[in-house]
Amino acid sequence: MYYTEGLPVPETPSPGETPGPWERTDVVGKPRPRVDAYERVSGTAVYPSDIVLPRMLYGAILRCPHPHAQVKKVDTTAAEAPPRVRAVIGPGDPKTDLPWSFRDVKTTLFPKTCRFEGEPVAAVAAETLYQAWDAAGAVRVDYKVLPHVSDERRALEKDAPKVHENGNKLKTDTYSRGDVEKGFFEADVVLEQHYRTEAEVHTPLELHGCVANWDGDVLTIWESTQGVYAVQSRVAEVLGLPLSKVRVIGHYMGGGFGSKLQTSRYSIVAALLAKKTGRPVKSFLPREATFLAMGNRPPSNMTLKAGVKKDGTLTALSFTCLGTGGAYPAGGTSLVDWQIRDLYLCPHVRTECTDVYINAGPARPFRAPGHPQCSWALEQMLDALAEAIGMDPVALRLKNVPDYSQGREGNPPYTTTGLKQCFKEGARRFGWEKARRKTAGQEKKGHLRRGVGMAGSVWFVGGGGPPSTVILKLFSDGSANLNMGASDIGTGTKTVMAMVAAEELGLRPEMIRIEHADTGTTQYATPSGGSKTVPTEAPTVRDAAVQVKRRLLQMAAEEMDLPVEDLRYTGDDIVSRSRPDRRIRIVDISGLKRQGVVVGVGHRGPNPEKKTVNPFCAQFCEVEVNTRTGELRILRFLSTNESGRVMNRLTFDSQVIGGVTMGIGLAATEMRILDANRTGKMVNRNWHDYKLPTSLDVPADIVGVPIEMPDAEANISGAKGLGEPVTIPTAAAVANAVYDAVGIRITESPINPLKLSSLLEQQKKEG
Amino acid sequence: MLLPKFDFHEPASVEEACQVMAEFKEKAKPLAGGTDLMVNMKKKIVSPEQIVSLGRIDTLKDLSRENGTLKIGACFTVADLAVSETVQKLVSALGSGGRALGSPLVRNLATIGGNIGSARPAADLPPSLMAYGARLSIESSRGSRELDIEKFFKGPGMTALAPDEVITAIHVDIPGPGAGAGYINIGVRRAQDCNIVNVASFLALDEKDGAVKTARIVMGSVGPTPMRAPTAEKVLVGSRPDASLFAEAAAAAEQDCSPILDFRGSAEYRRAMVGVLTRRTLEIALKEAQRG
Ligand SMILES: Cc1cc2nc3c(=O)[nH]c(=O)nc-3n(C[C@H](O)[C@H](O)[C@H](O)COP(=O)(O)OP(=O)(O)OC[C@H]3O[C@@H](n4cnc5c(N)ncnc54)[C@H](O)[C@@H]3O)c2cc1C
Repeated sequence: MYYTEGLPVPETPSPGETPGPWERTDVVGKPRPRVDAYERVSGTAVYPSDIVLPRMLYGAILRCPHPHAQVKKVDTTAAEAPPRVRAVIGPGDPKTDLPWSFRDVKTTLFPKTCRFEGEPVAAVAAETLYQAWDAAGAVRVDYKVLPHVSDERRALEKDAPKVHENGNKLKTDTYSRGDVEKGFFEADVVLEQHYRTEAEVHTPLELHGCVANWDGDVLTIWESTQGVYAVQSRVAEVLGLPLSKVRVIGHYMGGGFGSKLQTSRYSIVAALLAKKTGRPVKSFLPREATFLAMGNRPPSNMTLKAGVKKDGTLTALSFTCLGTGGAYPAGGTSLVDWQIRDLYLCPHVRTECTDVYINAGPARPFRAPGHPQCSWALEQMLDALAEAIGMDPVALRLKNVPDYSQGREGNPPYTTTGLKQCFKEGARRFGWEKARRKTAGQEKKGHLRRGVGMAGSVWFVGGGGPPSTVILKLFSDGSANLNMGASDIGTGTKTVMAMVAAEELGLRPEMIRIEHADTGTTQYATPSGGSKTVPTEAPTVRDAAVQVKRRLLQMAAEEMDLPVEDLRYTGDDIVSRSRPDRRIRIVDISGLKRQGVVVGVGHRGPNPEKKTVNPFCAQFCEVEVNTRTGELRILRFLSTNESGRVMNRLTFDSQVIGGVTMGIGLAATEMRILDANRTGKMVNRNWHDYKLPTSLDVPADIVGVPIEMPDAEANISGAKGLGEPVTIPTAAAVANAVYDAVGIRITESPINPLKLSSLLEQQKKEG
Repeated sequence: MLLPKFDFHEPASVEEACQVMAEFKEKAKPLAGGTDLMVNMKKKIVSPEQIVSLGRIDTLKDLSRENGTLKIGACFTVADLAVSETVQKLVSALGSGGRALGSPLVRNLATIGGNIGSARPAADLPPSLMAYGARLSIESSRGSRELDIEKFFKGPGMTALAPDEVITAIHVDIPGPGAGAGYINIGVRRAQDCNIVNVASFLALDEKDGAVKTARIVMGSVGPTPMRAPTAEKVLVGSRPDASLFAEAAAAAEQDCSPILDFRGSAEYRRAMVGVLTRRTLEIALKEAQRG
């Protein structure tokens, strides 16, 4: 058949039988460029930002300029006056000022009390973008500015202004096992240290926004989102529509990193403006507004006390964290303590996380929520313990690697854990011991000091799971169409899924067309996040492909008058096992010709019971510190990842490079700056003052090393998540390397020249 | 962030540009690469009603050598400055400034005239231009004049230009044998940053005894305009250059500046970096001067 390339095809399991792991793969795991590379690079890919509809209006949302204010009066008279303004909506009108909530805290689309800078106050729709912003600027708002608290460390002080009536404390979560006091008593060395990581802002390349259009009572929204079904359900709920009447489309999207997992008020506002005007409305946020209102990785203030025996056995970990999700409940301390509980063997553990309100934009999940922060504390502490007992940092970690999850009820084993291999293979490939000897031996004279550092990690989830449905349609010419609801958030989901279908069917991946991320026409999927898209969708696609093969075998059996067990699917044709001369080409199967298509419906099977599926990672890096200027150069990075089966070697490397780059941002350049003492406003709300690392701040030498361990239990693709694990230990590894270079523990991020030079100065003074 | 409304002019010659400028005066602004002006217009920091594009005036894009002087057209791009062999060979510190500026995308548009015209205290090109003692050709419908670049900057965004004037060229005397210059900038990240400190140093040595004949040290980002370090220069002149002299000059430069504190950096750090960069740029200048 024209559409195959003669590659061997896996056996087709009989109906009712679950497919076993692939014994060999010929497509999966190979380096394969994106199926949509041409569209993305040439600019023909249509992102939601590119959508232009006939008669389309532009929406603009006026946002509160104060971190805390009461909206006393909104006068839209002047806004309605400019030519070609078609609608103005604002607070107080029950038809448009709809209820909105952040978890269980209720507010409205245009709240009377704005609790963070950037809360929506009013919205307009006009013929052009210029007119829309002119009109928004002409809305007169009478604010009563209220006192604000913009630093979570002051939020619980007695006289701190209250963000919500019942105070600034949201909750305290505690966890404990064993008896930490006993553990500290048993330890030979006990250390305690305070750590802090600054807030980071997501800033994906494509802005947040959508285009909304009504066709009668059916609403269609083109949205830059990580999950079309998530947007559909919230929009339907808020607008009181049946799910069937809300269609959300998000074929291409330009990045989210967690900030586009949820639905925002702007989508509802666009739908309302479109309803009111009877015209499509496009509403994308300006970059500055996304800095304020579209999420962040919240700051974490952590204290960790740890005990270790001389032989490297960890005896106790006691951890507290004060964090904030901003002005509303948004997971300010979510998962910050997870690795304390789970990463290393430790009998006595206690954690206490307090989440408080401040007058700042709500947090959103940010690539591995909570984990890089925890890593910053835990992995620096492990290095300090190793030094105190005179042990190599890698050896100390190897001493404490668990094969079951201590943090979960019932201590379920991991289906696989390659953490040990990550440390060992990483150290070997990096040349760890030699590098350590070299940096230890360097003279303290020169002003350029080299250092090496490392860190390990586990990701809380990453195994994926049900629900997911996928439809694979094989056409009569042998080409196929894969229909799935999942979004490809830039990670290469479509490519990987085409590879899975190709592997199973023997088709060339180019012959598989993917339809995805559209609640109107594609199957149900949960949002792409949590590093679960591949382990959720790949098994589902495989299941669908197996269904197609079974159906074809069935048809061939009828046509050839042979028992189905006697037949084997080869990709090109179906062959009798007992009489190999009897075969039929797939495209000649008359059932397929008659029906036009054969459809396989795949479902995501359940995860293994009483086991947990998690990916692991270890990273190693080398840095150079200029002790005169405080400049930090990151020279090389190596990431070893145990994420189950590598599905595509190119996307694997892309994730490693991207994750390390983002981690370097946390380590060295990024921080949200709020003018906490005076206005409470964000000072660096643009790409100039908010420092993302540039390509010159990131080493060219970033190497990804997969640790592939067959995992037959996780799911029928054997894959685990990768996208978040790759960024968890990065910042901590950098901090450890800086310590190795200059002997300074930098406990507060980011390690920029200003901070580093003042610490070096202090070190010099103290001798 | 959208652009405010404006009228757009595209003169084909300097004369024509000067006529338009003369007609609209304060209401008009010349547009070169737009990488500074457009950003400020979007932020509504400035809203000129008349934009006079210099993009079609080809004579402003030239680089030429006349006798001992390099003449750089005001619309010569920073991308060209960064790669030009002539620039690298004759005025390498200016080339360093070009390579330090922005990113490839910004450099493709940004011009040398725009960098001077923006009059930002942290801009990458003025320090080396001042260190080389560059002069500006300035034209208007009233005539033309030449101005020492040092007299050009009046404060952040403020210049000696009259509302109807445009810069047409920058003249740099090519340093002879025994002279050299260096430029270094420092920021929080390695590219696309607002400098925390940037310094250019120029040295000319006496042919006979190798002592410093002329020294110009220019510090950026530590005052309202790029500024000379007079005490440090005095330290150098008349003495034989060596490490301890440079250390002394660096210490003097630290005292010559009066940096401010803002969210980008503390005053102490800026002061300390003036010292470090002064020493390092002097070392580069000396190496170049001794190259023969
Ligand atoms: C992302 C980004 C990064 C940047 N990074 C840097 C950096 O690292 N270092 C740095 O120094 N700058 C940087 N800049 C600022 C800017 O790019 C430079 O200052 C650039 O050289 C300006 O040149 P231009 O041709 O774009 O000027 P324009 O924006 O066209 O003009 C700037 C000003 O000068 C005036 N002007 C222009 N030409 C003339 C003329 N011939 N006569 C009289 N007046 C004139 C204009 O009216 C305007 O007021 C950056 C800008 C951006 C957007």
